[in-house]
Amino acid sequence: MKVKSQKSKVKNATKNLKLVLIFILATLFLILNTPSVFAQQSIPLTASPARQEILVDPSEQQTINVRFLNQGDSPISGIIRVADFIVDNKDGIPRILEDSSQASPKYTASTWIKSNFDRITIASKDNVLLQFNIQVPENARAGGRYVAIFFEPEGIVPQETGANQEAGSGVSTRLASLLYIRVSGEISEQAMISRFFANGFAEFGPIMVETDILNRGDYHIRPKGVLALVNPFGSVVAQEKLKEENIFPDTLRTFENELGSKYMLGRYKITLTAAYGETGQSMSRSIFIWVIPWRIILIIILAIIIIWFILKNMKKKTSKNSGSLKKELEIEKQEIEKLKSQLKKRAD
Amino acid sequence: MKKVRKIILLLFVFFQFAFLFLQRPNVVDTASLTAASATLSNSRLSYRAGVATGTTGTSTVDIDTSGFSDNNTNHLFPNDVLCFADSGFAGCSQQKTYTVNNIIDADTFQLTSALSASLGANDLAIATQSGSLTLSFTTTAEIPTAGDILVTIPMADNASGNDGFPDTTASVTTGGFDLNAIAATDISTTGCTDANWVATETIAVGSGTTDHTIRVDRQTSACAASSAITITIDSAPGIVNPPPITSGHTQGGADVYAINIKTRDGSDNTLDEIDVKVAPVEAVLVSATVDETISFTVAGVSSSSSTCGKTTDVTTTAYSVPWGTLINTDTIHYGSQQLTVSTNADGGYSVTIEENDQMGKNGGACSGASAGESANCIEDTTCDGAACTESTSADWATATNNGLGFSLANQSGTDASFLYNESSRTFSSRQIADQEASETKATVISNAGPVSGSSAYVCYGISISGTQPAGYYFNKVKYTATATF
Repeated sequence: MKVKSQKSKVKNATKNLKLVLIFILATLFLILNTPSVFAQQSIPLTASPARQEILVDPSEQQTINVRFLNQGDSPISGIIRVADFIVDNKDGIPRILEDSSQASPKYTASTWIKSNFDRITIASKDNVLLQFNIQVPENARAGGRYVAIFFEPEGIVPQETGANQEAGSGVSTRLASLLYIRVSGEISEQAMISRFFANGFAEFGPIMVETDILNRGDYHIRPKGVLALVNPFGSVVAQEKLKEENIFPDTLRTFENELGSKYMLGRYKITLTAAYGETGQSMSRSIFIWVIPWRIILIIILAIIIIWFILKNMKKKTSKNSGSLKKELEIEKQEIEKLKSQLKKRAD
Repeated sequence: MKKVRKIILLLFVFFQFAFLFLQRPNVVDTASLTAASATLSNSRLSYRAGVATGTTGTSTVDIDTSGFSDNNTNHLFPNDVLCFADSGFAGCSQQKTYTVNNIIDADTFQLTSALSASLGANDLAIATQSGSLTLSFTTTAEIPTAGDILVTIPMADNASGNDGFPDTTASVTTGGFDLNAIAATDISTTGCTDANWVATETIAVGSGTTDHTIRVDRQTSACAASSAITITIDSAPGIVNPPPITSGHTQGGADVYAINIKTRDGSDNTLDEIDVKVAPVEAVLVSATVDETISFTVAGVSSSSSTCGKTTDVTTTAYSVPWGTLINTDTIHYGSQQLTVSTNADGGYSVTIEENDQMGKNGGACSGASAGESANCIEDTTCDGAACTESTSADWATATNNGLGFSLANQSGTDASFLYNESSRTFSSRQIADQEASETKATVISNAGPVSGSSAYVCYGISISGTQPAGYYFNKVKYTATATF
């Protein structure tokens, strides 16, 4: 009895050991299989605000603040720079211009902005609030000016070890806060829907609509618009808001919307009406599209034809059968008449 | 005769008393209604200011700074609906209301849309505040059949107190509410058997110095003493609160008005009565500004990690990708970094990548986009079939296609602009935009909306041929993170 209990104890201990080993191996596998990120080797930065907009008058002096935060465990040193930026793509991604002479003077203002700091160190888990003075020239043209203020921790080119074929890349990071400056005064506000596209024919909805809006004004715009889908009977069956996004001057921005439901039939009208600017400007455009679920229609037509054929055949068969029955009945009748006449003759 | 005299005297005294009784009846003692209250669902004072300027086609409006109920913009908030009325209150200008976009300064505000007509110097900027009024009380005396409840709501003296426009006065005693053309269907009376109160209340709009009254008749049976009764004027259209009084009003302090409630018998004798106070006051705009922020983290990844379907050969830091000695030629070496972005900017963010130049021996210049071994450079890879550029990706599986390139893999989210395994490739790669060759910086990760902790690996690959001149090759790679415009 004692030996038996000892045996079961040993069995249990082995089982536990196995479980522990499985657990350790699984943990090791997970640790080894997960890419390890060097926490102390990271640069976690935050810029606030990410975007800001100010209104200034010519010859006015104004101050703006930008805060940079270091959420890392080590202090971070780097340079502070102010550069102009433009947007030259349909996605609204800013392109910082390293050399202000590359930029159109129409939209630059980096030279207006001065700061007392060109290099800062942000302590661990701390932030630095930087103040920038903007001196607007007296002859500043009314409209928009666009500037990025960024903090750039310096990249370190890896040390050379003296080996034969050695290589390394220094990596630097820039985190920018965008500043939109509106110089007061009369500006031109002009925008147009340069492209309003949807496939002219679709089998099913919803309809993908692409809209390009071109801003020809002096300041960026943020159009507010609604796309409406009108069915063949003139009723609005779906509406979708245009996403509110900034459009840089002299730049296109593409918007994508989906309209309608899966099952639609007929010629639909899609209209876009949008308002923009400070003076209540508007723009609108419309297109027509056909939505025909032709495969479903084809199947229905084929089904109708097949059913018609089946019914026709059935009818034909039935009428054939009744014809032959009629004939048989006629023969039977004649035979009965014959028998009748024979019986009559016999009786006579 | 004596007896007759006595009878005459008795009759005289009787008629005297009778005359006095009939001529001067006993005054019925009135008690006070108990547990009485008046509740405005919107206790904010209406806004009424004089217009100084407002030009057609513009969205800013200046107001007068004296002589009106409101002489500044302190009591006007974004999203308030404004009506610009002339002094005759013949409706809103152009039959249109406007919404306040923001307050520019003490006497200027901006509308969400441009004015469709210029405003006149005598025009008023009016933001009407209206809502329901609930009166609750408990009777002390019984209200008999044919009795009633009479509610008296103060109206501004000599104003048009039923046109929906808030009416201004110099003091509380002469001021009051605009009935806003409420109808009997807007009024309900509950308590003491609801159905025994008349369904169609009698509304008398005030005029001159007479205030508004609402009479609720008791029709079928008496309402016992100590009954709790509630009279409600609903919020559609709701009575219009007055603007601040023009004399002696302190902003933030209430203007207290009294609403009289009385119960009466069938002969309109007052049974119970009380004045309940309502105190419309300027609202306080409670606001908090949450700045748009963007957070960007670059982190190193240790060697032997699996990223982009490859095992990394070097340990990177946030500041560098130290390839070290490239002993094995015609072999692609891999090293990765992790990028993480969070932003609450509604337009999202983008992170671009660039290099100052291709890798030059001892940092020497590599002129043009394809300066190779002959120029002592490790050029940017063109991938298999010379198919990739800084904007077009292609598979890079053949190590003899030497150079430096990178691929991407999402770690969290789907923000990578291309993926290492797209189109069934093993290491779909691109070149890093060479600023020396004026190549356009390329987006590596982006999103069109706010994100929290979107993360991707940037996986670098490098391969050199056996004939690459010996030396130390390096360049500088730069990530730029910005909010989307």
